[in-house]
Amino acid sequence: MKYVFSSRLKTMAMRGSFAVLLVAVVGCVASGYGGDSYYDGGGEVGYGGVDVYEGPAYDYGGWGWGRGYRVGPPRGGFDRGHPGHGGPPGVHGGPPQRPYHSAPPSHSMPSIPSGPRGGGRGGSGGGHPGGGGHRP
Amino acid sequence: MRNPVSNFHRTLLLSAMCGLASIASAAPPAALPFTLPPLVQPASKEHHPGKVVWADLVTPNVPAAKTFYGGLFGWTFKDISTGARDYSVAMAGSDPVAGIIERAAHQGAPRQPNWLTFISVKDVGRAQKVVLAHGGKVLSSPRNYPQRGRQAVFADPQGAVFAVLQSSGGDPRDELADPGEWIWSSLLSHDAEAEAAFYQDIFGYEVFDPADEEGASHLVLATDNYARASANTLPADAHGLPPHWLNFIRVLSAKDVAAKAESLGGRVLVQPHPDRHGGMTAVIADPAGAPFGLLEWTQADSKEVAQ
Repeated sequence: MKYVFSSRLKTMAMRGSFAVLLVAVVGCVASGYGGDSYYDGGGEVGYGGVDVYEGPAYDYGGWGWGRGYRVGPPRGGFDRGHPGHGGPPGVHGGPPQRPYHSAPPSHSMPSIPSGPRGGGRGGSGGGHPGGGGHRP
Repeated sequence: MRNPVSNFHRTLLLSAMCGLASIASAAPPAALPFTLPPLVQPASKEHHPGKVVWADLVTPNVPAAKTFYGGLFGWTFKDISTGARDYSVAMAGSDPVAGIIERAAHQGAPRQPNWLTFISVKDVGRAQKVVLAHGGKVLSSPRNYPQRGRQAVFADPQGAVFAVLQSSGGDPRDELADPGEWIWSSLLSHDAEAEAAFYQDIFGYEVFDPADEEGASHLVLATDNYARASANTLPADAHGLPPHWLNFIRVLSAKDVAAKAESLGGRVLVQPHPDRHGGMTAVIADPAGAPFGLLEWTQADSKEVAQ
């Protein structure tokens, strides 16, 4: 009886030891020891890649930003003008060749979202004439 | 009486416990899980590729940045432990609007703190392929952040740095930004048309060419029938400006906020002046030198298109 009890205890102790070892190995891997392991990013730990400085230091002065240099958003219904405005003429006097695909002429220039907060759908953001817009 | 636990197993147990203890003590603090909050809460389940949905400020002094932006826009902050450096989430009311991450400035390095622009994308992996196929660079490979989503950092062919984010809970809804929130973004580069083509391939932008612009290209990039950003060619004499993204925060008075920014240690880089929409814009540098824009926008600026 004593022998049986002792044997069971011995088996339990052995299993316990291996369980602890297993935990140690898993913990080792999970903590980044011995391999790439940060979510699925691999290698880096923390908020990798985002902490990039840019540069060199920016100099916004001296070239007259503010005198006709416009970067802001258009209002709804802003005039698009002529497709390819201001560019060199294209082959055979056609529209200028652009590296990008211009929006179709039937699309008026949209504005930014302007619906009220929590208002669900909305925004008077412009839209394509003829109801072709697809607001979220 | 025989000891049921042999010396061997006792040693095994002891060594395993020692192993655990050593791992716990030796593990670098940076290995702590880095959990970013979701972009929106509750989840919107809306995705708006091409929309600027987040910005991270990289700065050498997080407390100073908190003082400045908190004083200027009323932002509050929630700190997140990375174990290695400070990261803080800026809140406009109850909405997270930006992250601030600490990075020490290197003496003599011609680099400066900046805001990193995050643009919504459907598939980060596809975006990376397009970036590489069109002459861009991968600065940080795609990675997952629980609650936030999957993101990566790239440089476009002209060197402007931007990030893409495939949000897991959805993007912010298309609503008018409140004062103190991001409302607009502009890409300033040496060739706006080439840049427009590059970003169009990634985000599927519709590209509009405003009629009243003279000289350099000023293009408008749109998705979902909303203007998302502008791509602008820098003047030839803007020697000191490398291609970069510049994000604008909505304000009620650019003049007042610019003055307040100066009182908080910032600098006015471009004085308030009327822009395309009729309201005022300005460019400010925070005390560490990171530039950002101010943009006035009233409901009157949101003019409904006559159908």
